[in-house]
Amino acid sequence: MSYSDVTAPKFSPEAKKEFDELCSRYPNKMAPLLMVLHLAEKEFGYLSIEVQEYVANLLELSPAHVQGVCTFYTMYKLEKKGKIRIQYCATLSCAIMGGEKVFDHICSKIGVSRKGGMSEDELVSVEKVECLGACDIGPMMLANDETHGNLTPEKFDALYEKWKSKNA
Amino acid sequence: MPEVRWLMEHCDREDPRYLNEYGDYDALRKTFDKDSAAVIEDMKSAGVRGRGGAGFPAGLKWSFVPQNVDKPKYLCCNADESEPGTFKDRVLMEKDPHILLEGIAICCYAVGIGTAYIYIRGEYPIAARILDKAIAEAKEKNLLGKNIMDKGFDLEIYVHRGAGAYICGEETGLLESLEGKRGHPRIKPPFPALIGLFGCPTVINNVETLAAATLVMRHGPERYKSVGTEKSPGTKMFSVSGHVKKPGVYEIPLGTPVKELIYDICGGPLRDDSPIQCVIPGGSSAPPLTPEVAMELTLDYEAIGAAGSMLGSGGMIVIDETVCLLDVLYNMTRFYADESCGQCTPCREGTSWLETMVHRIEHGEGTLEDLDLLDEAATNMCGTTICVLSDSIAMPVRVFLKNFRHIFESHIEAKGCPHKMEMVSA
Amino acid sequence: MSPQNGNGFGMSDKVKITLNGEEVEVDKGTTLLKASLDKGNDVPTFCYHDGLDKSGYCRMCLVEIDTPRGKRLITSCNTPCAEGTVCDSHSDAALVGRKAVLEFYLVNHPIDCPECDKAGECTLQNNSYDHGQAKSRANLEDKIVKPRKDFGDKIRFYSQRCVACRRCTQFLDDVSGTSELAFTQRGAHQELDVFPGKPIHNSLAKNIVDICPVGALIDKDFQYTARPWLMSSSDSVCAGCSKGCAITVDHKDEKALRFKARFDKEVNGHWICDHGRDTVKTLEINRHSNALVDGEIVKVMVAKEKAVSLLAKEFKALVSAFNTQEEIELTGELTDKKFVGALARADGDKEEFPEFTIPADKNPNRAGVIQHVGDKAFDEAATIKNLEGVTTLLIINAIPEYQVSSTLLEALKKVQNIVLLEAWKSDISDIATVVLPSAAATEKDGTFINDAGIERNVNFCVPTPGYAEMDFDILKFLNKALSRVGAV
Repeated sequence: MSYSDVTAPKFSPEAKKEFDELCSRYPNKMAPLLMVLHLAEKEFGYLSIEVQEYVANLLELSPAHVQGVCTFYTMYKLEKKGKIRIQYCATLSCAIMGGEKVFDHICSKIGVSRKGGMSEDELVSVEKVECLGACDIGPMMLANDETHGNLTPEKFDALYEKWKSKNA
Repeated sequence: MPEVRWLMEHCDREDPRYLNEYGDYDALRKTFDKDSAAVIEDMKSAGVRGRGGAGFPAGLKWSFVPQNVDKPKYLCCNADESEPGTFKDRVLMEKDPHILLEGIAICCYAVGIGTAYIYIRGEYPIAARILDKAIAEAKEKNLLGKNIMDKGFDLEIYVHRGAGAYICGEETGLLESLEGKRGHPRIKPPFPALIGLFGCPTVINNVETLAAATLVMRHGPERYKSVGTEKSPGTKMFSVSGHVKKPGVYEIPLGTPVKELIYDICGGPLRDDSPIQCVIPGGSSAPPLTPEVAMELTLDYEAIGAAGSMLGSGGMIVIDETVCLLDVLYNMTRFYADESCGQCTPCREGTSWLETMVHRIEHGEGTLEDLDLLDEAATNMCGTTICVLSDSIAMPVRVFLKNFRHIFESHIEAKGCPHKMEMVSA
Repeated sequence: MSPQNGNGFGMSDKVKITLNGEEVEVDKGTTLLKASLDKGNDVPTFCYHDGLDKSGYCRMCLVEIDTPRGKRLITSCNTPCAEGTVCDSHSDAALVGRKAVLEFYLVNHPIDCPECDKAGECTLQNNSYDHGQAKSRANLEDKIVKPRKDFGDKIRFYSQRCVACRRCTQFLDDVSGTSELAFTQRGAHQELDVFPGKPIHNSLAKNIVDICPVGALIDKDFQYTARPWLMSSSDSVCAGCSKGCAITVDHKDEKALRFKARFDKEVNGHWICDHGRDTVKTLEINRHSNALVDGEIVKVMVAKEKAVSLLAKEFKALVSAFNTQEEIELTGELTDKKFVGALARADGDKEEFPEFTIPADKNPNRAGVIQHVGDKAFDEAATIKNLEGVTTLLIINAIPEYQVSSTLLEALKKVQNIVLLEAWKSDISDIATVVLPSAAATEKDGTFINDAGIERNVNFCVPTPGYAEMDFDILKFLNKALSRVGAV
């Protein structure tokens, strides 16, 4: 998947259409911001400083305001993440089902420290997040939009192989 | 009492139940035969209480919005569901989206609202897509949009995705986020019923609460009240997770004994050789109960409240003896410190302070005086803030200290975790 | 009491509340904070500011009120008094609550007082002293360390000191409308920041340093200059432009070090601009500190005697828009109102902000001069015409670093005798026969009339440099001497 240029951003015609539709849902230009940021993230890969300023100009908001919103919410990617972005649940129900152990395994498997990070081949990145609302299948994670629960080291290894072969 | 699957009747499936199966919005059709005041009366009579966590009577909330105003009115469906241990709304939205949309339409008709936003947490992208599709097909069949069912009632429903912030589940934090800002809860009064979204009268209700409106209008308030207790009528969806054999979402009448949910429905403790150490009844903001106390209680707002906890979101977490409760508490303090919005000092600094204090005690760097300080700091975080996020961690901390003090003391004495268990939290 | 709806006397504009056990009547809409403070009850605040709309975030002003659900702590700054409110601003719960809030403030706040500019005028210090406790029980090693940041050429930001009162963000959103600042991240890791590449450099920026209750926002120009408790403060008026904003002048060892905004409801409200604020830096640059005769430094008395001898014959006067009403009036008396005109600084940029306007006219007393000298006072062509045939001219020029035009300078060169009272050196000093060094606005008393016709006084704050004297004193001397000599 190729992204539009993140350093000199401009919405494609399709994205601009979606942008206009989003704006039509609200009575002012500030309210569409969160949805527009999701759109921009999809279009450009992540919300670089240039993308943030681009969005600010489109919506006639101050760039500082947009930066404040981008950094308040944990989901927005402010830097490049892996092709498969793992958001790993670190909260209570998953933790008491052995979540830490599986997280450690994931980190060592993809070659990052226990703080999380992105694999060198930029295929997978992992980061800890708080409760993802799938507590009955903990330990669990979101890999992009896919939910994977009842995780074990073996289960992760199988997924990892699948991702690697798909993106070879 | 076994499960009573009124809301969840069609949730046992792989794919969502789209309109071809859901059929006509018959509850909405019935609603149009009544005037808005009568609909609100029905909701009041049924006694539906907010299912997000606060338990506020929904009909009463709807009646707070003035009927005749010069401004537009809004409904925000709170689908932010971020309370740890809670995952019921996702199930409903992913499996039976139209039950929510129909419930929204009923509320909007009753209150006189023309635009509704479903504020859904960003981490539910599948549910958001399903809702988008459901809205589109409902519009096509004239069940939403302009002149619904040729009754002269217009309603637009939009899906608005959050991006990862627990505090946006707080009513006014949600409003701020919907308005394109950081999710800082507002100072109240004024209340959203008068000044809410974009400064206009607004109703904010949980997914399950709105879905329940379809039950009330389809079958009448009497049927809704026929299960549950007098003050806690109807059914509630409980999300059960942790150390039980069958975790999942279960819809049961309020008033069902805790014992029945954990043992009969969820199959009892996960491990036969590890008894239950602690029960958190309603999401991590609900103070923990010892198993002895928990097993004597029924699952309704009053009984759980009287026992010093709360029914909350119904996100029950069962913990056995294989984990260290102090580590559990640390995990919770870390959650609230991460999620504090930061705008007011007792919460911003207090959540951070509780986290570091619990961490020190857990790792053997605490003293008995620290326990008093921990309790005092937690006490000071209650009643001094703009919203109740700080209370949501302060109260569990205090109750942990009260009900499970021996665990703190053993860590102080052993200068570390005497149970030598694997840490659940880094 | 006022009539309502033409039905005669209707509802009262007052409400009765019970405050600390006493029944008190207040105007409707008064906040509990104001009601408490008016009765001498010290309730601390951080975020509340009369010039800003929103408050209630800092949780410092907690008081206890009775509600149907029992007693509760609420923020007094944004709670209006209602009929029958029962409030205790100093109950045990309120005192404990405020003390607790202060302890929370100190959990992550760095112990920077020894090197922090704000020490001595810091709200956190003051509130902790009056309402908190001496020692924070939080562990020092657990403090979340945050960096120092650069917000542009004017302001430095010490992130860890910030108490998140939101005064600065409100100011930049509502008053200046420039919105350079926003909070980033959340919780205890929250940090105020600018957008990369977009520093704060609007002309009202330094107001946020004034209103920051702690030493988070620091004026780069003033940092490390002086400790507040070693400075004295005098009230005065800014002489930077025709607005005439109220200021306080902080000075030490006879040197003005800092201007701060002072509230004036009719003129500038709560704010001043950075141009005026920065004039404090110009007070000592390029000043006359010696008297001159024909370009040579002489004793002041010698120069004065020379001046008297020159002015004994008929003379006319040229004043400036930086001189006070009193100075211009006395000059008029000296010369029987024979003014040739007046000097003024060239216009600068007019700057309009949502809640503040900086005028283009950069002179404090143009309106006052016109009152005495007439509408054509500043018409240079008229002035040059009026100079024709003038042999002796008294010029009083208090304009900082005045740039005289070449045409006017040529006309002045034709005047045989010029007695010049001047504060800052200009090209006129080179052609004057006598130069008597005079005062800046911070060095004298007097009245200016601003562009809205409002009269305000400058006040003496620091003495003149060297041998310079206040213009009014020099003119009084000349007046006395000339009457003695028997001027025409």
